[in-house]
Amino acid sequence: MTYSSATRDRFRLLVSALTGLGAAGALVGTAAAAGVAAREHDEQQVDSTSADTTQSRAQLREQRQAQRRYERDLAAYEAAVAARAEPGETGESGAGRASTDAAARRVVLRQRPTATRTTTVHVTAAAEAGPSQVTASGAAAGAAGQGTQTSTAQTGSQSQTSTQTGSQTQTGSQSGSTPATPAPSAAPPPPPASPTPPPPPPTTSAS
Amino acid sequence: MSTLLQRPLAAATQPAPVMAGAAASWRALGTTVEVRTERPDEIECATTLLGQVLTDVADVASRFDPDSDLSRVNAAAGHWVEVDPLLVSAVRVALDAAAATDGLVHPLLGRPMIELGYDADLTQVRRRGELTPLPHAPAPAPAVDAWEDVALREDAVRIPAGTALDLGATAKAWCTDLALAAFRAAGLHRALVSAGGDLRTHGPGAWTVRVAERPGDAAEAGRTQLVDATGALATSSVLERRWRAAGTERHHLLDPRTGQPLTGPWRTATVAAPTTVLANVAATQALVLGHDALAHLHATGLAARLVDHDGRVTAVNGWPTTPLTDPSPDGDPHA
Repeated sequence: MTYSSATRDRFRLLVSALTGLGAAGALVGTAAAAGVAAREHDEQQVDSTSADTTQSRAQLREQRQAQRRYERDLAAYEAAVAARAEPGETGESGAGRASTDAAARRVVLRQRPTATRTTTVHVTAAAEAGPSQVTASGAAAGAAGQGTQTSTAQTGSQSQTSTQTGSQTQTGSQSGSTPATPAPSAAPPPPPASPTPPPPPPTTSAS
Repeated sequence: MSTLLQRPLAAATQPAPVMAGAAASWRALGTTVEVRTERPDEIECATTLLGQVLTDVADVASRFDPDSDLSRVNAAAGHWVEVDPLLVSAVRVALDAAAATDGLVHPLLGRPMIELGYDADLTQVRRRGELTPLPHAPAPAPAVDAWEDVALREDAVRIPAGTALDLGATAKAWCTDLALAAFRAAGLHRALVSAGGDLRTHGPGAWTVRVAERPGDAAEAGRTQLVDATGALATSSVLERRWRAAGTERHHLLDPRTGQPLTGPWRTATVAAPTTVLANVAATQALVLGHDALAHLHATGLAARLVDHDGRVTAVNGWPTTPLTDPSPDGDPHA
């Protein structure tokens, strides 16, 4: 199926697919729908600080609920169109044609609510022997169960930046009357960054 | 995948292998959640997907948020309440758990929980301490089969009058399973998600996981175990979520038959299963079953690790029994 850049229904098949104790395969339908959100994650940036100051939590929740309702309606429409695929055209190609038709005949049910969220990330300078740590800024959303959101990402590779504080200049002339000023030696290159220590194993425990 | 499931656990190699990749952790749903990816460039996508799942579920299913759909259902017990279908799915998962355990993992323990003092985020409850208001005449616990009277529509829920939903037994594990489904659809490579210690692996190969009773035990030599796991692991314990009220120490795992905190022989159960919900339900059920837990687990075939109140560990169905390299001071390698 091809979609517009509008937000997909992450839980389109959730209601019908999930039974909790079913086999892992029961989640496949949900996965197909839920995973499309990954294709859009690059377009979203979250500014928790500004969002909290300009919109209340209740408004944000209502916005998310409205978005989910829209996605469900859209998914139901597309499912209905796909179900009207011509007889005999079963299988992938049939489904594909039905999907294409669905996309062509799409009716916008209502204006999709949009949200632009900006993430501000403060990067602290690495210590002499330690890796860099990246922590997300912003106050906690305050929702139940959500405390201060701090994410620590330890990447497997580190970018190395080096700055040469010294400058290489050579003054002087060939005349000999003015002795050539020896070029100041360049600042020694910074030591290579220490390898990022591996994180401890993930833990299963009561919490 | 089926080959991997046939042998979901193995003794970890010692020392634990160096793990490349990226990790992120934060607080959500009143606990610590964590995501790890083998490829560093996938951590942002994984974090976004998991965060979205947690946000959506917390929106609809938080017992402590008066605006959540679950709170509205509880406030109108006995009546149909229109809700987000996401909550309907969450309740269906909880009802399936109740059906599979004959009510021993019960979704209607919200009222007994509140009457024991757990009526807010645990941090608040602990801070309140002995000031926690308790009812003079607590209402009787719902019948063990009361969950059968919960009715669901596509976008509405009705619970029996006098009851209240509490999805704590299944919600976190369900979030983990949802996130894994999203990872699969997004085409992520090897990853691991943990929500409050209920964790599940994604992709081929095992992950080295530390098995502990409480988060703080992770660094305490002699009290944890390293295993190489695929699939899901979940731990339930009476040790962690505890508070004091009316001069009594209480914990959050209730016996549906009495509405009171469990007093069985086991203090912690860790279970391995194909999905996180399965693992978590089995772990909780084992604690509720008490002395009957071993026989039940043998019948299910799920690998499990039970710890009694003296710290003795019982391994079931092939759970690795690798001696620890750092035995506890009393010489018991599994204490």
